[in-house]
Amino acid sequence: MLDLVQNTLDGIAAGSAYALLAIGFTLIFGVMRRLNIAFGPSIMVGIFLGAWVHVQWSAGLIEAALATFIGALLASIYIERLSFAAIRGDAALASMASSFALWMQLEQGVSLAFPGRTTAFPTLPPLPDIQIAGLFLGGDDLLVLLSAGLVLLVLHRLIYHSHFGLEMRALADSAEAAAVSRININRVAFLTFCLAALVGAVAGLLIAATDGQITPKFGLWATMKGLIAMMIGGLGSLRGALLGGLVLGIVEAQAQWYLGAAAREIVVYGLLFLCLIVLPGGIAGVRDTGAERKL
Amino acid sequence: MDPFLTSVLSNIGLFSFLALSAWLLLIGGEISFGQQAYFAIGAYASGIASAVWGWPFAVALALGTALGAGIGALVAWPAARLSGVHYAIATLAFAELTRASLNVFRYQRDIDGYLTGPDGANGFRDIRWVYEAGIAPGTYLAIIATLLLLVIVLIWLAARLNVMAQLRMVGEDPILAGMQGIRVLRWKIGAAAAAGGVAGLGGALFAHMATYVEPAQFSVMTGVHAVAYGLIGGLGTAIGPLLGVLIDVGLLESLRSLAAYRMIVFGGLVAIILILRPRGILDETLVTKVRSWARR
Amino acid sequence: MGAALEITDLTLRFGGVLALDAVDLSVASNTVMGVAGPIGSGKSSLINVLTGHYPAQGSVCFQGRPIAHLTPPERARLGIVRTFQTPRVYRRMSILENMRAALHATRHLFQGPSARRREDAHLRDGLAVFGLDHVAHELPDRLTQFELRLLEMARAHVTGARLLLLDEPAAGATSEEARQLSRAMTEHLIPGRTVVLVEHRIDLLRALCTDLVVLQAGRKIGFGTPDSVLARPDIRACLMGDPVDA
Repeated sequence: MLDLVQNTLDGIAAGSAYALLAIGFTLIFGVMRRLNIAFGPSIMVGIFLGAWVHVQWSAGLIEAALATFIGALLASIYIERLSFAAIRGDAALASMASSFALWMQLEQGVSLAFPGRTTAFPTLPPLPDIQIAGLFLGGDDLLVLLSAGLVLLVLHRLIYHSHFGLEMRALADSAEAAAVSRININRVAFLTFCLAALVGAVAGLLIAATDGQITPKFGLWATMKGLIAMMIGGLGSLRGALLGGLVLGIVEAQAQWYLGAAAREIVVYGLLFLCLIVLPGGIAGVRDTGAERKL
Repeated sequence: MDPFLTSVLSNIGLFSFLALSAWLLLIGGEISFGQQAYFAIGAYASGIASAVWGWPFAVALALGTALGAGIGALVAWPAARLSGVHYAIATLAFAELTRASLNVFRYQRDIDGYLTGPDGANGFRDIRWVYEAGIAPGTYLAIIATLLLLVIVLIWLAARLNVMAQLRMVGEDPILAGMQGIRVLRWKIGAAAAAGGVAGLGGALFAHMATYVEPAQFSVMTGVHAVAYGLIGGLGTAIGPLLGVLIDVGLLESLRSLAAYRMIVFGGLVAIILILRPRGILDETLVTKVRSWARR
Repeated sequence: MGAALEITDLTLRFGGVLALDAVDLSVASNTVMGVAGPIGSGKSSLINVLTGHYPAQGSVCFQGRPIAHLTPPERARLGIVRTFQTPRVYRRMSILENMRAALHATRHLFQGPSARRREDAHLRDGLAVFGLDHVAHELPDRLTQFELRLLEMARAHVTGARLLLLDEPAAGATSEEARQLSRAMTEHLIPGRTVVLVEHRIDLLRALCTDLVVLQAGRKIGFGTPDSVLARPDIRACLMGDPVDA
């Protein structure tokens, strides 16, 4: 029983980072109705820029974090311009394939610039571990949870209590209605891409700083975790993305503990497949995702 | 023939199966990021058949194809009810599930003093039927080419029988197609079965050429490449995906000087092509225009 | 003449909203049943229910056979053909291929060269009737909205439809275009077919319909010959108050 609770606790810490990735995906999908599968790789560019600053000038976490945000922003803008702004809105397939092509570019670019298998990343400031009633919460995990919670609060404020948030939600609801309401669709889409990049960069930063090292495989990893969490939660729902991230984290932690690493993958992908078939609207029960063609 | 050329051409041939498989689904209006699963299933099944059970090569190929088609249909039966992103992610989930399962799949027998068969993440060694039968790489290339040609002829035949036209109807507007009497779900499942079969055949041929396969070879990257080939080359004809493979494997792999920057060059090329032609170089519009021009 | 289409107690709910509320309707063979009513009165829903796109309660019989349980493809195979309020065509197929697409489901997969030539000639005749033969090999993106409507009609014409469901065929058309559409319908499309015509334009309804039913909020509020129904003041108020027609 204690194991079960401890695993859940670990899972929530990992899941909060997944949730941020899923929210980044959801923001982009919400306003674009197109999938940016290069979302993970754009964060990867960010953390590598952070690592470069760290290695080059032995900079600390703050400078590395700033560099991470800048890198993720630049990579996202590159993707937004080439794969989304430049391709007609109804060619969702082309945008997806194009973002994949840019992913290949980013991944190889980073691999060429950082030839080692792993690159060092500044670690989080040490926080005391917490132990209550036999349960253990690492200082790093606590920091990850707190940071993720803070980002969620700011994001909630921005989306539901600001003019930009209103424009974004209008665009997510209906591009045509937003257009006739004099919303500059291109500007809102662009800014949403940037916002998603920043949210993703926070997730990337937290994960990289917890591990203390990064690899170019981070792009694939982040895209997969974000996609899985988003689909389990329910495509197009921010609440679903949050829930999906936490569920993914908890399931992974439990499966890892009880069944081992190899089985963990089987459980996660099995769960995802089943979830899509049985519960296409996800945990949040999204009815209309806008992904279907209507009469 | 020059061994390097033979190997490049064989690779082009093998990737073509995967690209055609993804293309068939694109025509039917679905994106699959998971065709590598059927490639893997074909590779493993045919490998087990020829190396462990000692079945003849042709029968092993048939098994790989049949299993690919059967499982393709089985997965599509629930998944084809989903659409768009959901279908794409469901196929991705199935493919990763397959890969993760192969990582723990062990089935080894003692063959001539060697333990032969899939050994989890360590892969599957000694699929040596082709090697033992003394088939030269050039001859094997001819076998790949012949079977690829057979698939293309089948697709051409399907086009003659209005099968491709009905699949295109389903892909372009399933609601209109349904109201014109097309049983949309059956077509989607049928397309998935055909796509699974084509990928399974390709996988079987791949396993017997490489003699060694491992789960890591059938990653998401392989599957997304397969989709990209069709989208670069164009969705208008079956030549499209082959053109896509030719551009990637053929052009860039043969230009060794570009090897280090291959993905940067290929990625940039694809991005530009997709801006100019969102449905590929040989898209439906071009095909219609060429046909219309040919009639004059 | 017997009823080709017999609708009894047809009810369609969207959440808490009644889109169709216990509608009874009987359409005699080879007649045109006009359906009028304000926006949101259930006109298009009626067509979507008849094609099987929306599941509804109640019974629908086509030529004496219950069809309420059939899927859209099965109904299409019985000869129930529709047009759409916003024309729906395959944008990436040539116009002739669009015509051919309408026939795929109901004929054999195998077609010999001569059979194919015969079919093409038949399809091009159909296109010629609606004045589209000269663009047979072009893509539909060359066509105007009005020509797309003609293409939908040509497509319905060549299928040998037995029940035609026309969803506002003159929506957005200029009065000259509406006249042309009306002529095309009376001369080619309507003869020998049972038709349900959803339409806003009173002049078109008067010119084409044998009978007219008026819906409001999913209920039948008027039924009879167009002249008798349109003479009723309450109906006139209901239809003329319609912002589209105003």
